[in-house]
Amino acid sequence: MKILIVEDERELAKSIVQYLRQESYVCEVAYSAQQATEKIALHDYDCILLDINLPDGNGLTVLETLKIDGKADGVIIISARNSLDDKIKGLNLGADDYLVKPFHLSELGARISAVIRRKRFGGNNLLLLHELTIDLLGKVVSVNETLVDLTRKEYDLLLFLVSNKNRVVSKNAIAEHLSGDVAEVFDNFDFIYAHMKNLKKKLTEAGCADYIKTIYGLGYKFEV
Amino acid sequence: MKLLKRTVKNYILYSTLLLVVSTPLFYIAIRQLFIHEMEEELFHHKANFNHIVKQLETEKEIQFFQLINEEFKLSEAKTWPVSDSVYTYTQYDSLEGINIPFRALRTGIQIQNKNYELIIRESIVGNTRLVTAIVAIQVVLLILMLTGFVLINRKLSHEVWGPFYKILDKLKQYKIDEDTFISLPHSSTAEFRDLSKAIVLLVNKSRDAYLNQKEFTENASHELQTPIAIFRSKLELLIQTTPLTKEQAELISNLLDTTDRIARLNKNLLLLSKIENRQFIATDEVSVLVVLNRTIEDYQQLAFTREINITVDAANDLVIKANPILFEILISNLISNALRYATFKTDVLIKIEKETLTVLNNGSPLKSPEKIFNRFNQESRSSQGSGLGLAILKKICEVENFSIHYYYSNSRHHFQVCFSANSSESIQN
Repeated sequence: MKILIVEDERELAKSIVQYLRQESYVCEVAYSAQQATEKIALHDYDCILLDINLPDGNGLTVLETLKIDGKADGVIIISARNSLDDKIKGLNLGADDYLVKPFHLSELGARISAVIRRKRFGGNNLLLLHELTIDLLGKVVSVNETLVDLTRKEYDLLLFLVSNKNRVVSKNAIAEHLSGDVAEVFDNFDFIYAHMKNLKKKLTEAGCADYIKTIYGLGYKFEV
Repeated sequence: MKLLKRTVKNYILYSTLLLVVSTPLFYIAIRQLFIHEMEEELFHHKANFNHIVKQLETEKEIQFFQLINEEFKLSEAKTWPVSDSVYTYTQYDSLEGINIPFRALRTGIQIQNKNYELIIRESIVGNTRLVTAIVAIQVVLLILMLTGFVLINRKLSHEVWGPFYKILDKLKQYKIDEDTFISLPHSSTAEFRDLSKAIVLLVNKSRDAYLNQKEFTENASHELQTPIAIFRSKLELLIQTTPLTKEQAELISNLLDTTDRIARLNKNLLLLSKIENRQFIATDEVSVLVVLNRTIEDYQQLAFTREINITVDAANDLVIKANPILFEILISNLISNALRYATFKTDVLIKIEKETLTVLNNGSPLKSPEKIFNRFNQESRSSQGSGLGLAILKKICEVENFSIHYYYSNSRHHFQVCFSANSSESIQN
């Protein structure tokens, strides 16, 4: 799967590439709007990460070009400005998502996998991992075709870990992911421990192998 | 003291002083003039008498003349010659019962080779009468003068000072964070024109400084986002490396927590300056209860781990006009603040009443509650908070025209938001 990263901050672009490589995505980087336009003209990408504050112009113009070519599908805008106007404009131009800096790489990973799943697999909304099946549309989880009764937060947590499978996801990223849009995130991670404990218990009871590894006090890893 | 009062007061003082000083001066001057005139009169009389007396031939005629002319008194001279002398004396007037002052000229005269002493006298107007007349005239003058002053001043203060009061009004109404520029009325008076110019200059400078500062905060926060993003991304890559020892994991975990704090602080600074810059303007009808329930759900797990029970006491829902995003932040900040500072295993009570929303939580009283809404207020700031939550709350209320009050009673902290800013100014204690 090919991903284009349009980001003028080289170190950030490097981090993103390095993180996504572990998920066996093929990444290309464009450091300017012009480079991005050239690459888009030549190749098709499954997902494009588009920083809208570029040195040679607003990333939204790149998005406009994409829309004209009918390629706007699968664009995730990344911006340092949490501006509602930009967000609305971007989404109206056909972008799939809008992520504000400073984001967690695991959050980005989750968003990318959601975009790709939707784009690649269209109507097929089932995510299969050995005995574990996640129905993305119905938001239900089953183990060996037995439904597991998860709460909303537990489901979100599981999907977040699966989207970043085989990578360590920090508890900080989980906390931010699980909190609402406006909720102040507390330095207190007790609620994650509680959710995690319940999720693990429910999955194991349903007969699922223990894929979720605890990495010291740092975070978790869904290993398959 | 008003300008008019001050001027009039000085005028009155000055005029009274002038009256007190000028009355004796007047009196002396007029009297001097009077006496001088009288002397001339006396010498004139003497010349007249000399002329008449030449017609008198017998002693009898002279005595008769004296009888009909009281002013002249002729007696035989004891010495000769008699030099002219003018003097004043008083004589009791039995008719009027008072002492009457006279001015007299004593001189020598020869009638038919006989030496006579002649005294010619003229009564002087009474001193008291003169003083009374002068004071009366002065007082009338003073009253006329002052009435004139007040009337003229009043007229002037309306006409001449009019632009000044208009400028003052405009200045009072000017709000640096709302108005773009100040427009002052034109005046034909040069001083007020200068004043207007100076004020416009000052206001524009202050506004520029204010805008620069606002812009700086927003720009600085924006510029910080990318380095924070890079830093965080590197940490996330670091935790993917193997082998990862427990010691390293702990250190990275601390770094991630700190990064969270920086990111949160920066996000709140940005939010605060955005609210100040009025970037949330669109308003809509919002149901307080709906937003409240949604927000409580977001915090339910946190409340649960702290064994805090969130209770909502609402008879009716409240629908208000506000910016939906700001309103959600408002509710979220209220609840997170209550949860953050509530004692463990207590209740957080949220009451919706007519036009007000009150959030109550247990806790020990603050040392300086008046500073509670200040940015980075040390007292209301724990290691977890960004120190901006309540400042944001206050700012949102300002922008949305809500009023917010904090008070402490029954060992509970109360935060009360009133959605119609004008009504609940008084807060019971």
